[in-house]
Amino acid sequence: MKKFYDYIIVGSGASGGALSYYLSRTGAKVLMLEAGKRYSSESFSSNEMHANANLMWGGGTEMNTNADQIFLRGKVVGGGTVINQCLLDRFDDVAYEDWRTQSNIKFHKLDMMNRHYDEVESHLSLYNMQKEDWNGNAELYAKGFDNLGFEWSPLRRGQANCNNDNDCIVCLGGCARKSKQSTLETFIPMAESNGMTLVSEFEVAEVIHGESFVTVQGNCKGQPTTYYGAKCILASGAIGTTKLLLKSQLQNKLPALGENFHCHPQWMSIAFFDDIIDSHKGYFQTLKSSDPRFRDWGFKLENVFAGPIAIALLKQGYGHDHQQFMQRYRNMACIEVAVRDQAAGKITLNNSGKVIIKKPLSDGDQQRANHGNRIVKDMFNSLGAYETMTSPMRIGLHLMGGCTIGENELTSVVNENFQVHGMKNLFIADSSTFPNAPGINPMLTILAMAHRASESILAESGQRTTQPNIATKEVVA
Amino acid sequence: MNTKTKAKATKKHTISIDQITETSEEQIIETYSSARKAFQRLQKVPLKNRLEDVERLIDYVRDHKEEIADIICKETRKSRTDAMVSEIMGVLDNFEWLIHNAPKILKDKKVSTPITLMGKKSKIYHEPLGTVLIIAPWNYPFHISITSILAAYVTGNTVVFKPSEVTPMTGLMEKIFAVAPMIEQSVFITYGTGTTAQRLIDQRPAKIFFTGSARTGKRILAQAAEKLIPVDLELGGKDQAIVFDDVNIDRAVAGVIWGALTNAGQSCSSVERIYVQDKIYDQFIEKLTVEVNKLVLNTGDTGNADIGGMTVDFQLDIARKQVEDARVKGAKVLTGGEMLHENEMFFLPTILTNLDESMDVVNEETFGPLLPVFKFSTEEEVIQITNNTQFGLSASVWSKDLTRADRVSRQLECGAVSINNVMLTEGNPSLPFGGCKDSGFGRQKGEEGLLGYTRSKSILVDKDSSIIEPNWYPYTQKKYNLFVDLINVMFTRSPIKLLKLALVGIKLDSVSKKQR
Repeated sequence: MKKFYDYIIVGSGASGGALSYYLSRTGAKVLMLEAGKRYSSESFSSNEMHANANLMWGGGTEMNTNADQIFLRGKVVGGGTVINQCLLDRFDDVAYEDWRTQSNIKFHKLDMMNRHYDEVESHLSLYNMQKEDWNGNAELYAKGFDNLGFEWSPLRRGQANCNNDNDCIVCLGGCARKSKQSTLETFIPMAESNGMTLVSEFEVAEVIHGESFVTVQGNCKGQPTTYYGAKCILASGAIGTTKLLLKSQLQNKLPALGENFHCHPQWMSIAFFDDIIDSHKGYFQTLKSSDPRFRDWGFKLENVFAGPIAIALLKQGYGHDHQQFMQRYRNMACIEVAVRDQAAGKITLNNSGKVIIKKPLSDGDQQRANHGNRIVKDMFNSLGAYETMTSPMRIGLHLMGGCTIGENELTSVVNENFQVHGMKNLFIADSSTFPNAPGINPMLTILAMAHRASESILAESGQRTTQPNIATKEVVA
Repeated sequence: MNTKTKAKATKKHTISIDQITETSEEQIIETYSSARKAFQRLQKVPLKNRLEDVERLIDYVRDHKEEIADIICKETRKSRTDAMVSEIMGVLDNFEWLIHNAPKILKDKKVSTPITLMGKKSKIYHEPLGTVLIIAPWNYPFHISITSILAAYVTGNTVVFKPSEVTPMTGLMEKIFAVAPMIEQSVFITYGTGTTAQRLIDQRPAKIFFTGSARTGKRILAQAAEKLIPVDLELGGKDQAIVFDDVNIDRAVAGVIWGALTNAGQSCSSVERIYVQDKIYDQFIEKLTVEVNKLVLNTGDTGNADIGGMTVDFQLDIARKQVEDARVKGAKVLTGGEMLHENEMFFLPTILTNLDESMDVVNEETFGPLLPVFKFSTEEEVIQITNNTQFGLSASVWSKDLTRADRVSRQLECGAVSINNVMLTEGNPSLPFGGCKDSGFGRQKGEEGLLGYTRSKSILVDKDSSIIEPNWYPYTQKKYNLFVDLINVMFTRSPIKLLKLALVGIKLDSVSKKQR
């Protein structure tokens, strides 16, 4: 009986982490399986190269079939929440409206989701960036916006007692101060104190759905190992969860599996100034574009930067030209354009079981990007940059879809209770259920959805949730 | 026959006898009366038409295989592949075999007539028995039931059929048989427990075909003895796999695992004892453990679970108790050894070593996912030890040396041996299936199995003529002397035997025509 759990959660990122807490606090026996290793604040490497190689699938080199877009996804206890910037915004009515139009799911509505946001936020330390936190890049960002007459506002980040000391960018490779509100520092320890078992370096190969439980088969440090769960919840993200269902050969039962894959393609523009900017120092991300026009145009501008390896990758060419480019690292300012993509991609497996991601850029997506990049260029020009460069390569941020939520079994994979169609014991509660790209950082919404899913799952198991009056609340809403 | 049965499984999956409706004696009397009338009708239906009905069934089962697998899995907790391959594919194989072989086997057979009966012809007719009773088990509720029923039907019998009360699959057989009206009118499905079975036997079927436990088999045989009803019994087994040290270990391990664990070990011919020659014993055990640990359990799957659940709680108890008994007496449990979960009818595949004669798992049938492994050193020893059991159903012998494998096979006291394979004699519908000792008697499948649903009628044809046979009256001294001569001539090895025989024959013929 030692291999049988009430709930098995596959994945430990935003969704898995939150679920592990909400399911284990009922006293249930919960097992969390994570393919990556478990690091602690002390053991994260400050070396950008090591961080990429050790904390991400494919060492941070996964690409689409056209090889013009990189996808970054975490493979570490804490998942994407360990390697992201932990920007925690609620979705707006625009995002939910677009979701509901596609999904027909009634809780895709801000006022129905607010109590879930409230709940997860109550376990997080949130911080609104202050003017004194700005670095040189932020100063330029705000000024550029003002020059062109756009609204900006401070970012909200999940962090606790950061005492930022000049190395914020390093925490993209894992926060060394227990400050960033990754699930590793928040929900997972809470779940563990409830008795949750976490097995890391366990790569799930297949889930076998059965009449009264789910068999989860995989490799734990090279050893074939099997666990059994009365319910199993997949929380491995858009690519991870989709890949697992494809590997479990469920595409015939789930025609929409792998379809409708979205992300926020991101272009970083770099501008050079005579002055030292030191964009890498301090809080490297503090401001966001809050002008409603950007929402209409389908993109947002972010004040960002990256470590030298990532920046070096953005510059094509080599030799003296490249050396000269990198020599001016401290003179760089950077703004990114992140597009709400319109053209859905598709996730499949090839014959050897490797993930194939088809994610072309549509003309519409390209137009949005061009529009954004033009504005960025205008901003930099208005600030007196002597040279600007728009990255030829884009990064796929915020991977979503592949197992879309919906009513129709032909066009979706999970139902409104987060249950995989036709498989009452198998659930998905991560960003793979997202119907389309919201244009807003998804981490907080993934956490909130996981809370909502935990209620559905507990109700399905006949266990009382901590909020026995959900049903009534929703009728009113 | 229209009794509805509800064997309701509770969360603990126990079957309460109270919930099962028995078929009343009045209903059973009526059933037999209808079945016997149907037999009169069926006798007018030629074999060709009966075989066309089998084709209709093939079409139906092939087209509805997923639905049928759903029902089988629900009632038994099998893994889906077990249901699809062993039950459904097995049934279709068997039906195909019937279509191609029944005409040859059932046709009137000419046999030779001795020279003393010159001018006459001898034949055997394979006639149906009448209304037969088939009592099916729960471990292969589809395969064993429908192949038995169809063998009986093809040979011209009408059938009273009682499925196991544990896996009644209520309505499924009725639905399938509806595609062939003559089968529908010839098969009478009766639901109930042993009480119903007793009532069914009381009505004196022409023969009883029972597959199940030795305990129930003995009870049925005792009741049948009173009424002189013939019985075929397919009972349990304690089948051995004998693995010599010259084998490809990986393959033998894979085969033995499947043989022990297919249908979660709930097959009469499951591997229940694994004997491994000492030289490869350690290596075999190590590999076996690694491979068993890779297996996954579930039911209600889409075809990717290896091992399904236990169908009945008392069988699960036996597995659990045998492991406990062995553990207490010093056995080692290398993997498994417990239920998957207290509320789930699944027992983890369990490897046991360090076993001795005092343990139940060594002597009694398990019918569960256990792999007891023993070490042996010589061929003579393993034959002697493995034959030392009350059962004798089947066995498997694994060796590169086919001469040795054959030599061992001949010495094993059982009804079937698969050499370098496992449970595969059952995979060939031409081979008879059945055991000896406490595993029962009688054969299913193959020519012998099919003829088990018939009785032979011998026919000798002579011409109408004026000839009076010499052995008819009157007996005279002269005739007596000629018979003495005939015996002397007939049973001699003389080269001119035929000539002598002809001379005595002519004399006898002429004497036969004379009055005293």
